[in-house]
Amino acid sequence: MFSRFAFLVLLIILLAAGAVVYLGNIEQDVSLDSVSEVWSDVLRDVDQFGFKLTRVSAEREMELGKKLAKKVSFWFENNPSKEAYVSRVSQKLLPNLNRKDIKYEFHVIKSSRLNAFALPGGQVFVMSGMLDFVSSEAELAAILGHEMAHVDLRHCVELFQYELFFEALEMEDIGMVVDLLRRSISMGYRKYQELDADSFGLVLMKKAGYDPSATVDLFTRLKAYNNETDPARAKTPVGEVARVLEEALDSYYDSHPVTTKRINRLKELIRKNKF
Amino acid sequence: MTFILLIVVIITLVIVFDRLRAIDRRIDLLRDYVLGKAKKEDLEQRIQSPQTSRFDVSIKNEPLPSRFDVSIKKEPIVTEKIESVAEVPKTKKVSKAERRKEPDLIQRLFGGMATEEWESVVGGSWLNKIGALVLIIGVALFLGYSFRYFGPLGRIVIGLVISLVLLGIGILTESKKRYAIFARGLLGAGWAGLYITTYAMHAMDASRIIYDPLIASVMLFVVAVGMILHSFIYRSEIVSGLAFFIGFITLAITPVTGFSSIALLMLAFSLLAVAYKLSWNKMAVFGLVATYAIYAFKTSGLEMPRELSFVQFLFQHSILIIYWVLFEAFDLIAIKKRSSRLDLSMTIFPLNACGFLGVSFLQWSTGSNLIISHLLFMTAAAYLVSTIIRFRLMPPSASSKKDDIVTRLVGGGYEGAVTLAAALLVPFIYIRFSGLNINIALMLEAQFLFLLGLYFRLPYLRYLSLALFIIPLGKLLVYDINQPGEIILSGLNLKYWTPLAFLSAAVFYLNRLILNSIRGLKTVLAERGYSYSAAIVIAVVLGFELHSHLLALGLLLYAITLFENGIKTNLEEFRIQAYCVAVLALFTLVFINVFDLSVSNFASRLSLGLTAALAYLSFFRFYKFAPSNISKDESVYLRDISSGLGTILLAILCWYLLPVPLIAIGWGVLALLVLELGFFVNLPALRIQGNIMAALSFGRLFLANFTGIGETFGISHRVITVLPLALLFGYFSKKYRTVAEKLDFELYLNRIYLWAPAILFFFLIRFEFGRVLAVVGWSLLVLVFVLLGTRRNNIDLRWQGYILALIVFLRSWVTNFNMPESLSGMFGRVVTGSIVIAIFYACQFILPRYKDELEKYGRMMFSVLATVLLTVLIFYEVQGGWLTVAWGIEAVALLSVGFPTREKSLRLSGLFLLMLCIIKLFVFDLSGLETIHRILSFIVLGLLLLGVSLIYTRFSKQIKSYLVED
Repeated sequence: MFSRFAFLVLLIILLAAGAVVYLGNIEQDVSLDSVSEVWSDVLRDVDQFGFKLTRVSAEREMELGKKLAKKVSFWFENNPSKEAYVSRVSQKLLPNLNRKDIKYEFHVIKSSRLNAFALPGGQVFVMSGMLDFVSSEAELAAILGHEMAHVDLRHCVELFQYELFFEALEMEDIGMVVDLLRRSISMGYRKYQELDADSFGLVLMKKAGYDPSATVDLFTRLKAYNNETDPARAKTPVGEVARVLEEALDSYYDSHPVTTKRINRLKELIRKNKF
Repeated sequence: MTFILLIVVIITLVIVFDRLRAIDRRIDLLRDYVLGKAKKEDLEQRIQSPQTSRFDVSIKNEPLPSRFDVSIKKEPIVTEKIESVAEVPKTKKVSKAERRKEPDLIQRLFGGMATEEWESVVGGSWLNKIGALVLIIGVALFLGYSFRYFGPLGRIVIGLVISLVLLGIGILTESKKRYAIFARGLLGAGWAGLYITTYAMHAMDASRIIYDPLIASVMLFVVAVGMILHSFIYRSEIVSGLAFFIGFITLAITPVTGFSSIALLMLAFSLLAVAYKLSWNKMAVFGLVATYAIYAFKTSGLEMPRELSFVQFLFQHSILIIYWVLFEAFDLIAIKKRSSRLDLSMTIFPLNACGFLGVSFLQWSTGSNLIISHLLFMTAAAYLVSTIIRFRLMPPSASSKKDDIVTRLVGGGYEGAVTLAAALLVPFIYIRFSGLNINIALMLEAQFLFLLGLYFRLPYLRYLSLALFIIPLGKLLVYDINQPGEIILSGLNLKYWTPLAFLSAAVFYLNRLILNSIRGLKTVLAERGYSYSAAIVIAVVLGFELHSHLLALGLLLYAITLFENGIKTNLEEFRIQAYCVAVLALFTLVFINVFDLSVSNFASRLSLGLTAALAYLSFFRFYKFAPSNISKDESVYLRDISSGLGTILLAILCWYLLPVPLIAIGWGVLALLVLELGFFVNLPALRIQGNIMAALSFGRLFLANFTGIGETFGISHRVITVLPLALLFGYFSKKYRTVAEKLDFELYLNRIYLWAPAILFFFLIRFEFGRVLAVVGWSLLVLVFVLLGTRRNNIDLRWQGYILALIVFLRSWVTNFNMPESLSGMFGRVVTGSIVIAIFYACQFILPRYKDELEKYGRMMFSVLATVLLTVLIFYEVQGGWLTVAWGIEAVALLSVGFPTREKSLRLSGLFLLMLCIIKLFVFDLSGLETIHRILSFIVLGLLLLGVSLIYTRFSKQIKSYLVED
């Protein structure tokens, strides 16, 4: 008797759940991201054990950053107005960072490409093409927040951490080998570090008083600029599985997630946190 | 001239062959003599006696001894061998018997006569006949020569004289036995000469003395009759054969006229009459071949007029027709006379057919298609008449049971004639009809034969009709379906051949059912071809006429119809067809409905849905109303396959119809219904399907539900879809735990279904809370697992708790509760960490003190994990000078709780932490901290240590009791 009742209740719950989903805003994405992301979690957790044992000081990190920045100094645009603009926006974001011992430096690079990047020790670079592309201060804040998040979350220094650690022990060769191994592991989760940087950048923006939705706008325009299109739903169940597997294999070593996923993730964060 | 050369060559070959054998024999004898196997007398005797030469054959086959094998000479075996030659031992008898079975060339030539006779036969008979032939040729040459000097009459007279002289000498000498053979040769030559001369009287310009063809014909007839009658006296096939041969040769070399044709006809007739009378079958066959060959030879060189009228064409064929009638009549008459079913005369029927049709074909260019069709029809009719006569002469009822169709066919039965009649009608129909009318006419012909076969109970006619049906069927399937054209029938736009295809299928089915309905009728396997052909035709029609997305449904419906018909008629072949069509339907379904590009097609979905419904109906039919006339195994397979197909199709339909996040729910509902039904009706196959659907539903969540951002009323679709499915798996677990009857594969399903929700919750929390914050949710889940596992005494739940706790610990430790997604300050590191740590401590106290080998460390594990996390959290939150004090307080707290709760792990953790503080104090704090912090650290830690020490000493008795109880 109980079984029959439980069966009916369960059936109703399932059907009701279906009806509720049907009423909402339905997402059509199909991928192996859930498994891939959890796997990347495992890789990151494993990697973190090594990082915890080989932490380098903020001073050494900044020293490394400056050394690396010098190598790209020939690219600098030396445009005071643009540098002032970047500096002004970044100053609003700095107070909310976790790592207070890092002294950030911002540079504008003369390039038409739409890009920005960060190096260990707070070296942040924005290309002039990107500066021209952003349509608001909030959008620039989104870019800067994302790059500062990489530094604050140690993504940048972790790329060189083993090398620096073993260099200090005067065992550079071992450092290189270990770093090579680590890089092969970290390839599997680097795109998820981008999502982390997006999320933390969003927090920095919000705390700095910018509208977080500007990030979504920026990525949407970037997607259009790069002519990225979302794949249509597969036409057959087997085709769907084949495509999912193909995408998973193709994107495993990607350094950045596809823009659509970043936009979706940002939208979800904004919704959840009622930004 | 060529002929003479041919004869000379044959004779030479015979002589040379004989000489070679003789030489061979002598060499053998000489070899035996040299080797000592034979004495001189033996050698002489054997050379003289032809008998010995026969034995030599076996001796010759003995292996030759080696030149160095000296012992051979000493061994008595040599004598034995010679004796054995004289005695004709058994082995040699066998050898002779074998030789009898397989006669050599000489024996075959001389009809197995004794060896001593053949020489006389060659010398007396053959040379005589060859001599006669040579003489006749000589006469002919002489006549040719004499043409220069004599007029027609003179030439004729010379011919007559020579012929009559030969005849006369032959008649005179024939009576004497000694010259009998010689005389017959002369007789043959004489008659041939007479025939040729008579023929020449009218046929040859150079010797024409008779101008009236009638008189010439009568004269030739008289000579032929004379020749025939005279042949009767001697009853020698060779003599008569020679005469006829010469007659045929004569006609072959003369110009073509109506007279020559009549002459040929009369020659043939007389030959047949003789052959029939004296049972000279070889001669009859020879006559047939010669007649058609000469006719073909003589008419091939003629320039044929074009576009003859039918009458002219028929007239042109008249001689040929008469030939055919003549030989057919001979064959019919000979049927009764045949002593053996396997003699040479059996070839007359096929040779006559080939001869007539072959020669006639050479003349077809002179007639239009219409005329040829008339000829074909008339020939078919003639063979039909022949069929009737043959049927009466040699009724199937009279034939032995051992006689198979082939024996009757070659033995002159009606079968050959009716086959030819039927076959001749095929080209007739092709000429007279066009398009689909050909199919109809061919089918009518075949059906007529079929019904005739049934009516007269003649299986051969049924087989013939079956073979005939293949022609229109093949035409339909290979040619007609590729032709364009449509017709509108009752508002339906159909291929132009569709009605005919249905008609064909109907006829095939009708025939099959008729065959099945007649009691006692023996059918052959090939006759099942009717229903198979019908099935193929209908499948093809469906393939062309149905919308591609409805094809699978149509085929499946047809398969069901076939199956039901098979059950009703109790004919296995219908079921086999049903299975084949069903498999075809499935392939169609897969390649058109599932893999087709236009998945949004309504027809495709409708087809899928209806097919699924059909499959379930089929399942119900086999479950509830399983047919009694099929095996139980077959019924069960069909039931399970039907239900499986239904489930698969519904799953595919769900995929098509439902939005991405709902597919897992759809499959879950399907799994619930099927599994529940499987339990209800106690069918393992259904339960397997239910489990597979549940697994698919589970897997689907990882593809579409965890990372999606859809939401309804602010609740993510992730939550809305995963939670009910987790409940579903929990339900299945409970179901399998409570059900008594389980199959082998189901024994562990209750545990597997208990782990499934745990995995789902793990993922749900990971994606709902984010990478770092997930530890809070997971730790709550740990608490739930431990609570439930303890209360329900479920080891799986507890182990889920242990494993998850380890994951939470590792994630917490490596991320330091440092959350990039920790927003709005609500979940700070302290709050998050505190929740996790508190839950771990709670779990420690919830868990009973298990005695199990592994589980006895459960409490300790939670305790240690919580303490480590607390220590790490304090490390991050209390940086600087207060850290030692904070850890010292933590240690005291652990001890304080550890004593009353009798938790050894807490107490040991506290003591370990105190030790750590002391080490830190002296190694780091003493030099590293600012003065005030250093002082405070020392003071506080000192007090704490004293306090702990006081407790241990003041309450030593109680502590001892705790320790004992621990």
